[in-house]
Amino acid sequence: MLSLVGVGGAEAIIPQVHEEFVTRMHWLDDQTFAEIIVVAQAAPGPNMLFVPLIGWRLGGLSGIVVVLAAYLLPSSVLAITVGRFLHRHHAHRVLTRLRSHLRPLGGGLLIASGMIVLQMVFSHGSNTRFENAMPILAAIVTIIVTMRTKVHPLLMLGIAGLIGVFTR
Amino acid sequence: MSVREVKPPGLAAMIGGLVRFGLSGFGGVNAQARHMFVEREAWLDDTEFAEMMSLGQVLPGPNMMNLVAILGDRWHGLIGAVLGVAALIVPPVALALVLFMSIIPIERNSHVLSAERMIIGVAVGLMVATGLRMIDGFRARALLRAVLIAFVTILLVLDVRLALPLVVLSSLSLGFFLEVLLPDGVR
Repeated sequence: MLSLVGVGGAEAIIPQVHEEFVTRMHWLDDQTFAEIIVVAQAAPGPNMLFVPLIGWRLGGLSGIVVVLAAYLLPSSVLAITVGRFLHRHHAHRVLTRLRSHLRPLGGGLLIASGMIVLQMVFSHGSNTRFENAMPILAAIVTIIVTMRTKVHPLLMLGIAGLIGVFTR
Repeated sequence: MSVREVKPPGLAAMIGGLVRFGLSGFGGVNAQARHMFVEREAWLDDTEFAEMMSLGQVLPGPNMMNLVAILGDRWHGLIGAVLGVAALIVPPVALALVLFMSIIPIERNSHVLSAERMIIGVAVGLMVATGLRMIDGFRARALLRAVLIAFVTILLVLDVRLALPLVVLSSLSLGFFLEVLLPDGVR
């Protein structure tokens, strides 16, 4: 289980994982890989769900455990270490300044990740103009509603799903 | 802004909250993270959330796992980190396995695809809104600096397609550079 410690959001490592498992190792075929990505997207939960699903496909329950451990342990240990360090030196001047820069950086990264996810919708290629415009509209409405009101996210997701079914 | 008091959860409350969070995370947990940590559970205030979220993203590995590992560790030590990550991931994995074995044979017709696109649209909207809130909360010159940092970060990721460690490095250096260029002014 080499180099599963991808940097960036879960979506960011999908191409890398595909390259490694399908193209180089031939552990999975393209069809299976695509199915795994689709289920991982449809199911609720962390975006990295496709990782344990690949593990299950490769080695059942023990596959899940091994892949998850390989994927999560190194990054979690690093995160906890950094977290403890920052907490201990909470009041240090340079770190205070660093933290104030970290927030807009994180915000920018989140917005960029959103754009990348949106691009995945467009990359299917066969979409009509209407099919491309609807998710953009949904995103814009969601931003306005979220900033202005306290509507529950699940409600918005549900309504959008229903609209999707009936505008088809 | 809510006046509810922010306080760290007990171990059981943390696990329960994260299980619910994982299972309700349609469209990805990133999209709903702020609603869960700040509004529903009040475990963090907006500033703390923005800092932890940024930290989770900047570090290698999955964002939300990093964030939960750090918070679990801070609140309840190593056990808290391990149980927190497990609470977030085990129920969705079990559910996804069931889905994987049952739903795959069903045809993905145009209605399902259309609904999926709309859900992704809303999830993106939620992520962008959270991103905007993370930039918000600064004043005057500091706000200008924050907007510039965020803007450059987005450009570096989407347009220049720089690797993430380099993005982090560039944007943070820009932050320190801007402090010199656009100081807070007379105090």
